[in-house]
Amino acid sequence: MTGPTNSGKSYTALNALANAESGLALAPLRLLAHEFRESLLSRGVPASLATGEERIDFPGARHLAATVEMCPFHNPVDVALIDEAQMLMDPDRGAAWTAAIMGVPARHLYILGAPDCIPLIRRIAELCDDPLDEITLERKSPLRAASAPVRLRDLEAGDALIAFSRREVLDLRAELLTLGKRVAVVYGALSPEVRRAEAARFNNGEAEILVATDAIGMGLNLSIKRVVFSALRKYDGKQTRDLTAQEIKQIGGRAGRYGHHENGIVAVLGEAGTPAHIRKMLAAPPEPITELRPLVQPDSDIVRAVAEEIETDSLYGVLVRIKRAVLRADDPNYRLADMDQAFEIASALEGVEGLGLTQRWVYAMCPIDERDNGISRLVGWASDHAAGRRVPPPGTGRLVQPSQAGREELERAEKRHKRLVAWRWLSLRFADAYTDRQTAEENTTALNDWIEAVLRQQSRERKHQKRAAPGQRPGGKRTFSKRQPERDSRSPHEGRAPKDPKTMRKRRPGRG
Amino acid sequence: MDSARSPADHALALAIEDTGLSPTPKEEPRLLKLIARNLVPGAERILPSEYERLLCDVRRKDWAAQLMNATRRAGELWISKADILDAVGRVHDPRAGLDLLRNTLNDTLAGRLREMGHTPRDVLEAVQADLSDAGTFLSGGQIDRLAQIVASAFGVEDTGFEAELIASEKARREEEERIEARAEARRKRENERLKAWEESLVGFDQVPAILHCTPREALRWIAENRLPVTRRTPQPDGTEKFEFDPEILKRLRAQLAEWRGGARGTPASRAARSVMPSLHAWQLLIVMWRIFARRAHSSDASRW
Repeated sequence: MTGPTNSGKSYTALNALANAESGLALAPLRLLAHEFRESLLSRGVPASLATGEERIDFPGARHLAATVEMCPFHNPVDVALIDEAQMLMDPDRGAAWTAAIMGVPARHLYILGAPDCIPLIRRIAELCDDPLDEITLERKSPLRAASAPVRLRDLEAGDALIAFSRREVLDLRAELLTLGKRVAVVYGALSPEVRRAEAARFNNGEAEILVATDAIGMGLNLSIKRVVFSALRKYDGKQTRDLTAQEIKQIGGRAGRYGHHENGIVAVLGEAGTPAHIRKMLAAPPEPITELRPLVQPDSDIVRAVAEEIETDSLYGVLVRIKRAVLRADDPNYRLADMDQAFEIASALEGVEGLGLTQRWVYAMCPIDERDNGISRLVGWASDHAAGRRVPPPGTGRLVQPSQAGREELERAEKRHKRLVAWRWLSLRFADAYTDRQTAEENTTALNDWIEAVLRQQSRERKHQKRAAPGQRPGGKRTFSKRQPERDSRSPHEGRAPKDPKTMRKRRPGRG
Repeated sequence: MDSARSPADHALALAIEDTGLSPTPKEEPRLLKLIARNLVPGAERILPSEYERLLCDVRRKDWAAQLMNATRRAGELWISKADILDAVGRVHDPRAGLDLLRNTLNDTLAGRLREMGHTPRDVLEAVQADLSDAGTFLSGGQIDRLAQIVASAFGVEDTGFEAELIASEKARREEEERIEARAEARRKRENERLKAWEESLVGFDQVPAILHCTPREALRWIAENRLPVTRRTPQPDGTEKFEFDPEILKRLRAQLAEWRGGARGTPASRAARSVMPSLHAWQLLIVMWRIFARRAHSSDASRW
């Protein structure tokens, strides 16, 4: 079932799921899995929940909402729903969609996604020898390009301003606050809870304008009247490139939510592009997919089988063999997913004695932030685990008064939150080593609350004004030519938060 | 009184006489400004204590710079600029030398460290975590030094705790080094195994002899994805050089009779075989297994 944003795909499929005897709804994000579960409950269908970090068992329930990575392959169901199928093309997570679409044990499978993913779905159906019915839905409220470029000062209530890095989002937020606007923000480093809270502030009018990265494109119900791009180029992890028509349609499609706005408008800031370009992109047909081999990656069964075959207990050895010899780059049917991080973790874990192959594989799949020294931290945790020691949860660190917090403190809190996500993920898999789940939950909540409180501060922050972003002259016109991903290379001697007698502190023992 | 001199100049000269404290030429302009601002109208001198206070204010920036240089030279990365500014704000003696400044900074730092956690160990971890957040990692010697400072801040430096803290840090570092060394050795071993295996691969010309088949049969089975090609290397003439794992070929001998007489299989089974070109074990694995699991389940109509 394909259709653009706001075409009612989820609604239609959830109705079918609710009418089924048993069912499974697979979502790309934890919060969306919650929303699927709530949708089923609101239809009178009891449902459980399974995500990487939490489980909710509803006794007797025959429906389950889960994240795609948690797809249960051993429990047959009547109907399954897999959302955001265009994620099949995502180099990091695409393999989870391939495995779910090919392997979910369902009699009927609803695959929801943007029209661009149709050829890949057809290819998978062909590989599986499965029949495929294609249903195409149209957008319910029309989407159009604005007739003129927009100035920052002209942004109005209901506008979402799109940027492509955390730094740009925070810069634009600071500029808008200077102009007297009330602002909410959404970017990838924020936890789903904080994103949802910011979305709620925007939806209920507490904030007039939403400044967001393309994280907005998935998983949030937002009542946006107009989407305004602050730039039409983005850094994609490798290079700075123009946005594709599909990206403009996917992000711009968030404008004009059905039932709230008659139509959706997509615009661009004056210095970043022209309305004519937006109009052209919105009208462009789906770009043909040149790579039709679905992404796959091994799971623990495969890892074990390969290890037996090559007679090793080394995860590194198994992954090297898979990469070099099992699923080679020239395979005609499948592509091996980008497993660089798993490979790095496996490589570092080779020196930890006392962990089995499957345990190592679990660690290799743990969601960590490599830029936050995540691999060494994980090795430390694994080492404690292997030695039979309990691994204490990460602390919150010093949380200064939200009014005193600058970007550095905010970034630290975001990093600490990610560490807690990784710890909680492991605690669901190694409950005997990662025992203090309650403290982890409390620390997570404390960080979420603190980050929310910082983002709620609507006063102009001098700290932010002093530090102009690349391509921006303080107080002057913005330019958008030299965007790079944000990296904070300042030493601890610089920019430390001032010592504050009112400092809030909540620290729990633990590595990092 | 020299009529060309301002009241502030005059007050400064008197203060120098009273206290014996002279500003440097660099300090003098700012000091004069502060004296002018603080001089009671009509008065010709300022109190010595007031003069000392103003001189301290003038000297704080330089003191902070001295401390900043000293801490950087000593590699004390846990001392922040805020600590230094806090410390120099507590110095009220304009005669202060580096020793007094350093002692004040140590007291300030000790106060901050005590606020950072309930136990020295918590504090040590918290400081390291803060530094790690900022992308800074301490060397072994720096961690030892920090452990001493933390122990001293908690007044446990003579209780053996400091030694215990340093010993546990040392043990942790040694463990990290052991883990890295073991990892390195195991990676090397696995790479050598892989290399040896790759060197054991055979070309197409040896396949008929190993399988006891004709070259034409071997080519057909390759096309049907029955014979796993372990490595395909593009050649300059546009063709590909095929290499095979002799161990897998030997294991496949038992299936040759079936292949010679049987069907080509479904497109799905052929595709699934092709996912695992080099390892027979893959035939048991993910794609095929899942497809079959789903199909078996779907065809069980009685369940629905």
